[in-house]
Formats: sequence, C-alpha cells, structure tokens
Amino acid sequence: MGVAVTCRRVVHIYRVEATDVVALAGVDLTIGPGEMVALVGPSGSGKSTLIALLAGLMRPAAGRIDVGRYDLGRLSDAELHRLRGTEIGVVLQGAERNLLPYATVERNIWLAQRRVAATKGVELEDPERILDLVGLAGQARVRAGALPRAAQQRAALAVGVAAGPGLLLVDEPTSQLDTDGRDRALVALETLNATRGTTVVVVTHDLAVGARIGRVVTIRDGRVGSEGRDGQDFAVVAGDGTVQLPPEVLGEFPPGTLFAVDHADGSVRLQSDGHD
Amino acid sequence: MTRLVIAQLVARWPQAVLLVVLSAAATAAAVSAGVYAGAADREVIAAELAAADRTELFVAYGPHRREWSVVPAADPASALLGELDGFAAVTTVQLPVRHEAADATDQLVARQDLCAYVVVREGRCPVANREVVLSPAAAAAAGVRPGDELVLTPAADPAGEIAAGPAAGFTVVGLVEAADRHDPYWGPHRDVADEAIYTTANSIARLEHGTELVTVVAVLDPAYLSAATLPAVRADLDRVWREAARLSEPGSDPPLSSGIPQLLDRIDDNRDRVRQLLPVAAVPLVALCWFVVYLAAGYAAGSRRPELGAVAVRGAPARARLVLAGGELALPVLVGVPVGVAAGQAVVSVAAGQAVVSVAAGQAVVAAGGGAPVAPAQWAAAGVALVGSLVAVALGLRRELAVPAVTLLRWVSPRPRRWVLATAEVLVVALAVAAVLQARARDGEPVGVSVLAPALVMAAVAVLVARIAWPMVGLAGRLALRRGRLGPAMAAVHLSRAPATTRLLVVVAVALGMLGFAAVAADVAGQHRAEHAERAVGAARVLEVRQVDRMQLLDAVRRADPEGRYAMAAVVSSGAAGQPSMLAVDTTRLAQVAGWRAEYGEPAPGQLADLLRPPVPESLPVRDGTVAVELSLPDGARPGSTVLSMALVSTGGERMAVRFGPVSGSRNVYQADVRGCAHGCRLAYLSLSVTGDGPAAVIWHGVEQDGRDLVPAGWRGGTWPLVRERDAERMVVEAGGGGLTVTVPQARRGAFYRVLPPDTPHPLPVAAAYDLPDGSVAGVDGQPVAVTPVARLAGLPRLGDTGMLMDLEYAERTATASGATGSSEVWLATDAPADLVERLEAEGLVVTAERTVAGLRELLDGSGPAVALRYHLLAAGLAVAVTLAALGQAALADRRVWTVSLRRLRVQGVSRRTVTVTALWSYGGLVALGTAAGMAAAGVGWLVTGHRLPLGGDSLPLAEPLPLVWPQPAPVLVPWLAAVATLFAAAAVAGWWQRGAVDRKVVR
Repeated sequence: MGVAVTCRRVVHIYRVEATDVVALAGVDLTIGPGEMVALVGPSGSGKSTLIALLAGLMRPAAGRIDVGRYDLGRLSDAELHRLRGTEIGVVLQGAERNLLPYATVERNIWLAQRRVAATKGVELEDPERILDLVGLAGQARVRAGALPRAAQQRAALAVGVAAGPGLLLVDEPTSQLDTDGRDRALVALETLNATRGTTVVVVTHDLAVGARIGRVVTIRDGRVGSEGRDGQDFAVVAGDGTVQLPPEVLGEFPPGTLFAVDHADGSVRLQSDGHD
Repeated sequence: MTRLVIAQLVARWPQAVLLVVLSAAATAAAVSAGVYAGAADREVIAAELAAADRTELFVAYGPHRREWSVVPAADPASALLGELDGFAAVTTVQLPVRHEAADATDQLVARQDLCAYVVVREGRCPVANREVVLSPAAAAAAGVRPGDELVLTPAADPAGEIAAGPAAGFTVVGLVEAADRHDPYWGPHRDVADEAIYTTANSIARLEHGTELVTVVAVLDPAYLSAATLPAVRADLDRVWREAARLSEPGSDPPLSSGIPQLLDRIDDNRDRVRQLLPVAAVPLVALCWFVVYLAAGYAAGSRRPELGAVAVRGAPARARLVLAGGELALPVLVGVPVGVAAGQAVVSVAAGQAVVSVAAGQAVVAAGGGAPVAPAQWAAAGVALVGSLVAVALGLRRELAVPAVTLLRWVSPRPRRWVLATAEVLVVALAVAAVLQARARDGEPVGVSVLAPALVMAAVAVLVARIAWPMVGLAGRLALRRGRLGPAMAAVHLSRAPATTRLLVVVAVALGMLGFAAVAADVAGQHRAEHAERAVGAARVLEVRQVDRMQLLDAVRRADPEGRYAMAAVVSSGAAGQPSMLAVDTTRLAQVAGWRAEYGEPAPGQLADLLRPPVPESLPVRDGTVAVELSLPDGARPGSTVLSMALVSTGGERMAVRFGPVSGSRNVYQADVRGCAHGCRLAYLSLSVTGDGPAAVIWHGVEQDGRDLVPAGWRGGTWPLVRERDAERMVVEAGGGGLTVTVPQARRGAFYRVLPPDTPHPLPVAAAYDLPDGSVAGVDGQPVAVTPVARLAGLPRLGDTGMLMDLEYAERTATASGATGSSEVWLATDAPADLVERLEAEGLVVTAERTVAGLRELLDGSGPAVALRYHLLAAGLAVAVTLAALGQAALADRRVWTVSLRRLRVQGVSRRTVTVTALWSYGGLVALGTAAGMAAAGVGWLVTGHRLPLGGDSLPLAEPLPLVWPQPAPVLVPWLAAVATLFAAAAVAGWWQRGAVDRKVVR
C-alpha cells in the first residue's frame, strides 16, 4: 500500500567551499497515499535534492518531512537506512547506477530484498513477478549490464520496488531513452502504481512525462512554484503565504514590482503599480 | 552472496589476479624469511665446515697410557667416544720401538681403518700378524723395502734406551702415504703418517711390551652436522667432557682435546647473525606488501563507489554490504596464501640452493632447499601475512563502509582530511627517528624498532619528498597549461590532486630504496670481505709448509725462486698474551709478492723493505777446516778460567759452536776444526763462559782460516752489541788492546755471555701497526730482542692492525737458537709460475695447506651476514615486483574513474595525442618522482643506518659494522637501473593501455 508524504517548510542548504547555497527554500508539499506525482523544474531548482531528502539520504536544514507515519527528521541514520530497505524505494538517475552490471537481474532484485527479508521475515515477492510488472518477464537470468538501456531502466525500477515499498522515488526515469523506451518505463511505473498502490514521486525534465503522470509539481528556486493537475496549472500558496508567479508572467514584472491585491469572491486580483 | 562475489571476481578478474599476486607476495615474504633461514643454516654450516681447521672436526681422547696385555682391556675412552652420534671413532695404539739395524727409535702404530686412509705406493696393506708398512721416506731412512724384515725392540722410553720386551721381526709388506694429510682421521698426529711404522692391532697385542699409548679420535661426519643436530652435538660433547672428567684422576684435566666447540660457536654466531639480519629486509617487505594490499583495496573500493552506493541506498544489511564490498578482495587474498607459501619456498630454494652449491663445492653438505614440507613456523608466518592482508583490506575499505549512502553516490572520493595525512606523515618520520636512535643506542644490534630503521628512514624520506614534490608538480602543471602544453598539464593536475598518488609514490620510492640499499650494502660488504680476504691471506696465494727451520725456509724459497719475484718466505707467530703478532718475511721480495694495500699507509713496500733491511757490514765467513783464533787475557784476568766460543750458523740454519780455550794469560793462537760449513757459515755470535764464578775477561784479536784473516774490514770500529743474558748490562765490550776486549765483572759458571757481531742489525728494525715504543719484544725465536720502529703503519698483511713486521733474515741474526717457530709459510705472487710449488717441494718443503684470496673470499661469502645480504637483494627484487602490481592496480582503478574523465575531455574535443601524453606523463611522472625519491631514500637510509647494521661480519669480527665507503657503480647501478627501467616500461604500458581504453569508448 502507498504511503502519504508531507513536506512542511523544508529548507536545505549545501555548503560549497565556505559558501552556503540554498537548494530548497521552504518546500511545502503534500502527496496522498497511492498518488503519482511528477516533480519538474529547471536544472538546479532542487528537484533531486527534494528526492534525496524524501529518501532520507540527506537531512533538511529546517522543516519537517513525514513519510507515512515516520517523521524523517526524528529517525536515526540506522532507522533511515532500514526505512530505505523497506518503506522507501529509490531509483537513482541513470539506470546503471542502480544495478550491479555483472549480476543477473534476478540477483539485483534479490540483493535489494535483503533488508526487508531480514526485518520482516515475510515471504518475499518473486523476482519473476516483479519483472513481469515492469515488462521484463523472462529476463531474470540476464546479466544487468547486458540489457539494453531501456530495459536497464525498467530493471532499475524493478530493483526499486523489489522490497515492496510504500513510496517509490524515481529520479529521471526517462532520460536518455527514446520514445518507445520512455513509454515502456512510464507504463511500468503506472502498472506498479495501479497494482500495488505504491506512491510514486518522479523527478523529470520531460513535461510530457509530467503530463502523463497527472499531477505535476514545479520546483523553482527551491520552492514549489506551481502545480498542474490534469493539464491545468495552479499557483500554490506556500506555508509562509507566498505564491510564485508563473515564469511567463514574472517576465513582465521585474523584481520590486508592487502589486495591489484585491480579494473578493474566492479570487485574488493583483494590480501592479502603473497598470489599471 | 557467494554467487554475487563470484560474479564480481569474474567481472573484475585482473584486479583479483593482482590481489592474489599481492597476497602471495606478502605470504611469500613472510614465509621466505623462515625458509631462507633454514637454507642459510645449511649454507653457513657448509661454509664453516669448509673453513674449519682439521682440529675442529674431531674429538681426541689421549694419548693415555695403558699397560700391555695379550687381551687388551676395554678402553673407557673408546666406549665414551664410540657411542657419539654423527662421529666415527678411531683408536690408535702406539709404542716406541728400537730399530736396531738403523740405530734409530721409531713409533710402532696400529691405527684403526688405516688402509682406507692411505694410498699404497708399493706392496699392500698389513693384514696379518707381524706385518708393517711405512711411508717411502721412513722406509728410505730405515733402509728397508717391501719384503725386508725389520727387527724391532719395544722400548720403555721415548729414546729407546730401555727395552720393554724382546725383539721381534716384522715383515715390511708395503709403502703407503696418507691419502689426505688434512683428513681429520689422522687426529692430532698428522705427521705420524710420514714417520711411523704401521702394523695391525693384533700385531701390537701379541708383541710383548710394557705400556702403550692409546688415543681415541672421534671424527665428525660433516653430513651429520645440521641445524637440527647442532644442539645434540653440543649436548653430547658436554656429556663426553663430564664423563671424561669423572674418569680422570682428581685434580687433573681430562686428556680431551677438540676444536669442535669453537666450530659450533662460529656456526651459532653466523646463524644468529642471519636471524638478526633477515627481519631487516623481510619485515619491511611484508609491510610493503600489506601497504600495497591496502592501496589496492582502497583503489578497488574507490572505483566501486557508485556500486556500493547503489547497494547502500537499498538499505542492505551491514553484512551484505561487507560481503559485497570485501568479498571480492578477501577471497583473492585467501587464495594468495597457499600460492605465497609455495612461491616463498620455491624462490628461496632457487636463490639459496644455487648459492649453497657454489659455496660448498666439494663439501658433503649441500643444501637441498626445495621439496621440504612446510614447517609449522612457516604456516604461522603465512597466517600472520594473511591476517595482515585482511586487516589491510579492511582498512582500505573502511571509508566506503563507514560513509553515508549519499556520499557513496558522489562520483569523486572526498579527499582525506589534512590532519590525518599530516599525522600519518609525522608518525612515519617520528618512527624513523626513534628507530635510528635505538639503533645508535644498541650499537647497531638490530632489535625492536631498529630492525625497521632502514625501511623507516627510506619511507620517511619518500614521504618528505612527496610532501615537497606535489606542490611543485602542481606548479609545473600550471606553467605547462600557460604554455599550452595540455597533456603534461593534465597529468600534473592528476598527480598532484589524486590522494592515492602520494601513497603509490611512497611504494615506488621504498621499493627502489630497498633495492638501492640492498645493492649498496651487498657491494660494500662484498668489498669489505674481499679486502678482509686480501688482508687475512697476505698474498694472492699462501702455502703453509710443514714447520721447518727458519733459515732452511728462507734458503729453500730463495733457491726455488732465484729471481725473487714470485715467492717469499714468511714466518708468522701469534703473539702471546699482551704481545703483538709477528710477521717475519724475506723483505727482499716484499714489494713483488705481498698483497700490499694502500690503506696500510706509507712507506710503500719497496721503501719499507729498505728500512727493515738497512745495510750492515758483511758477515764473518767460515768454512770447513781449521779455524785459528788469536786470544789473550787483559791485565788482572785469571788465566785458564775463560773459554771463548764462536757460534756459527750455516746457510741452512744449522748452528754449531767452536770452543777456544781455556785462555791462558799470554796472546796465543787457539785452533779448532769446523764441520758442517761446507756451503759456508757465518759467525752468529761470540760466547764467553767461565769455569768458576768471578770476574772474567778476554781479548779477541782476530780469526784466520787457511792463513786468511776472516774478520771483514767493515767490522773495524763497528758496534758489537751485547745481548741475551740477564747480566748483559754488566758486560763490557770495547775495542782496545789490539783487539776486542770482553769483560764480565761478575761472571757465573754455566752462563754464556754472548756478543753479537757488527753484521747483526741491532736494534732490529721493525714496522708496527701499533704504537711500538723503543724496547724489546719477542723475536723469531721467542726470545727478547731489542727493536726499533722504523715505520708506523695502519695495517699489515695477514696481521691486520695489531702486529709488527720484520725482515726474516735480519731477525734470524738476532736469534740465539735456530729452529722452527710459528707458522712456516711461502707467499706467492699472483703471477707465480705453475711449477713453483714443485720447485719448492723439490727444495724439501712439504706443503700442508694452501690459502688463496679467492678461496677465503668464497668462504666468507658463506658467512652469516653475506648470506643474509643475499636475502636483502631477493627481498628488494620482490619489493619491485610488488610495486609493479601496485602500478597495475592503480591503472585498473584509473580505468574506472580517471578514464571516464579523459573520455569526457576527448568527447569535448581534446586530441588523441593530448590524451596519450597525459596518460604517459601521469604514470611516467609518478615513476620518475618515485625514482628520485627512491634514490634519495636509499642514500639517506644507507648513510644513516647502513653502517650501523652488523652487515660486514665474517668469521673474524662477526658483528663488525660495514665501513662507510662508496660502493662500486656497476654492481649497484645495474640492478637498480634495471628495476627503474622495468617500472618505466610498466608505466608506459599502463599509460598506453589507458589511452586505448579512452579511445575505444570514444570511437564506440
């Protein structure tokens, strides 16, 4: 079953050669159990950082992240490590980074199941069935390094869900894939989401991928800039009350532009200085 | 997990193979020290046996007296020595016999197993009762031949004057000679072989006689002596000594003699030295192997960071992560252990086995080397090597296992913390300083951390060189970049920034340092041994001859080599307690024959010979016939109480005295017949004696023979030295009264008051290798002689820095008695003719032993330090091989990390040539820096620690450190440059391979 994800005013700062770089500047995001969400945005906007925080690979400088019933900020490193082996599945950008190329696909899945095998003691899901879900039926004995790139990506997805996580975090699952490969990967994700109810968060540059997933959260300058649902874009009110203007709108209003705000009948009207 | 580990090994087999090699090298290094010690034991024992004096190869009990009986009583000595393991007992019974026909006394001897140790020249060996054999010389002296009968009468005294039994006839059945005079079979009576009459034990038993002398000699079987049997031999000898003491009369020493304890002591000293010196090379080699295993593990882990990150990000349990990270490293390490054990044995067997055969040629003991089962100690050493390698693997992996998953997901490894590096470097330097200080404090004895002193000093130098080099390399890279030389610039950046390059540089430097150090030490030690051999032998070849009268020796050598270019007579006497050793040689040949070393100092041997043999007046010659001496008494002297004798000495050294007097009061001519001077004699001295105590005096006016005045013209007014009597200082010799007046104010009856003639060098000129004051020392005849030092030398051939040198002929003139003292020798020049030995033997000299510089050098090459130094070279060679493996590991790791970067640059337009130059400069630069650092490391290591290790010992000063001298270029540079060339070749291959990998991917 999928788990809910909640981010509240999440801030993350990298320290690079004695300089602080704000990667996330107060992200507020709520993802329901079993929901599929695409995180989009330009390079450096903070998408991958947010994924890493959701995976418990890094800890936020401020704010709170809940994954299911866990407040990640309160968990120890060991508990986060265990969580990644059970509740959270991570698929890193670049399929080859998720796989041991010299091992068979089946062995890769088997290895990804070690934690859950050790902690729950439950019967593990058959690798063949997992591969069937991602469209790689009959490929279990194939060496991961020998698979075509598109198949490798789906094998990476299979490894990511091998432990049966409630949350699957996928970083750029369609990069470097052709259209067919992209579609196969998306089908695999949709199948996983549909059959298991797994909550899926996908980071992508590809707006078409986002459109297919349905809910698209745009990260801009370390914040949630906007959100699109079913083809319609929405501005999002952040926890601190701020709302980002769409980029195409912002182009007309340089920083420092003053707006008059009219709020009536459930709508908000911004009237800039110098405009009627 | 096993399948995964196997898949890893299959996928990365080159890395696994290199790890097997490294683990095998560590194991082989650990095992080889023990194996080599065993081989060294065999070599040392073989060398010491070869060098042993024959007296060091047997135990002799007796001779002790035994009353004769027809059935000989059981001899306790035979029982005592007969049961010694590894010894063969030989019983000898002898008794003096009177040979009436020849009017001579001989020894009748029954020696056990005689026929196996003699060569029958004529006839056969004695087997039946009353059969005897003699040496050809003894038969000639006795005037008998095979088939003749000898009538012998047992005697009760050595002079044969008292009969101890009835005369008996013996048949001479053959003429025999000792097959090998040096064979310990002959025991303490080597010369008996030439002089005795040999018969069977039964013949002596059935010959009625009084007491007989019994000697039991237990001869050591050289093949029996080994490291395993040494303690037992010692224990047996101790037991024999205790038992013999119990058998002997209270208060008297048991009649036992043996040099075996000294031989065993030398063997033990050499074995100890080997065991002290082997760890000096073995421990650093093992440590180097571990360090390279650590580097390899670090390289492997570093290059597999994404893979490890992928596993960590799945929350894999620690055990799974550990197996996945370390399994493919630990398994090759395990596989390397048996390989290393076998390799260690094989390498040592080949290296040591050949050496043993070369040293011990002709000896019964030759090292077997290979094929021996692995001893428990070797398995223990292999276990230590394994544990060390696994710890090294764990240390190499520690960072990748300890860091968070997100860190592993980053491609580039974080740089080690500076303080960690600085601490490690300070630790190495501090350890090196501590090791050197301990080595100084322990006076070079390699114990504790000082065992690692050379390696630590070399590592410290390498670390410091790296510390200095990298910033300079970085600067050079920036300069190259400004000049547009992209390839070298990129290589410099790679070298100066990659953390592992420092460690690899240290490996290269330490390995080349070890090789340089070992090569220098081996060469300097070899020079030292060669010099020692030259000093110890004295000339290119030295013949030890049967002890002979000094003048006979001198005369025989001069006649055998009339040119005086190839042979020199020498007499060597070991100094008594507190007295220096003495070397008396025929200095007229010193410059041509002696091995004179420049280190002995000035003057040169030719000039020295002139100083030792200053001109003296000619001698007073006397020949056979009547000699007339004119004598008178001074006023007041008692007539008829004084006798004057002329002591004459022939050219062959025979001395005789001619008496004149008692001297009456008036001037008279006294005559006496001289015999034995057919070839000429010289006046050795005048001797005055008295018939009663009281003052004595005589005037010697001159001497004539056949009407000729014999007194040389040069004697007129010459000095007549007074010597040799306790009252000599009260004796007065003065020219006057028409002759030479000799006055003894208080003469004693029975005393001889000697006056040496003017041709006697007085005081005797000597050259000393120590501060010899004017005074007297023991002369060639052992009697005090006044000497004057004419040269102070730093050393002398044969004697080293504690003896003195004099002219044999002049020294003989100061002697009061002829005879043989010390060791009679003939020194031969390098270019001595092949037939010279025959000519010497034709002159009556019997060569009993021979020493050559080459022979001694060969024996010294089997000494403990020399054997240990060969292991140092072997270990250094292994260190270079390990460095090659380290380079290979680095190249493999670079292929997975650095190659990716190069590939990206290539894709972005960097030319193929630039990539090639970068790759070649990278590895080549590392080797070049390592070579420079290795040279510095070897030099500093040698200067600081080399001469503090007891590497220069030999059978004499075993623990002597090596002198700080320059090595010969070729023996050091050839192996060193070969190693450097190999490393450069490996660097070129690695660079080329790297370039190829970049190119292939780009093309694909």
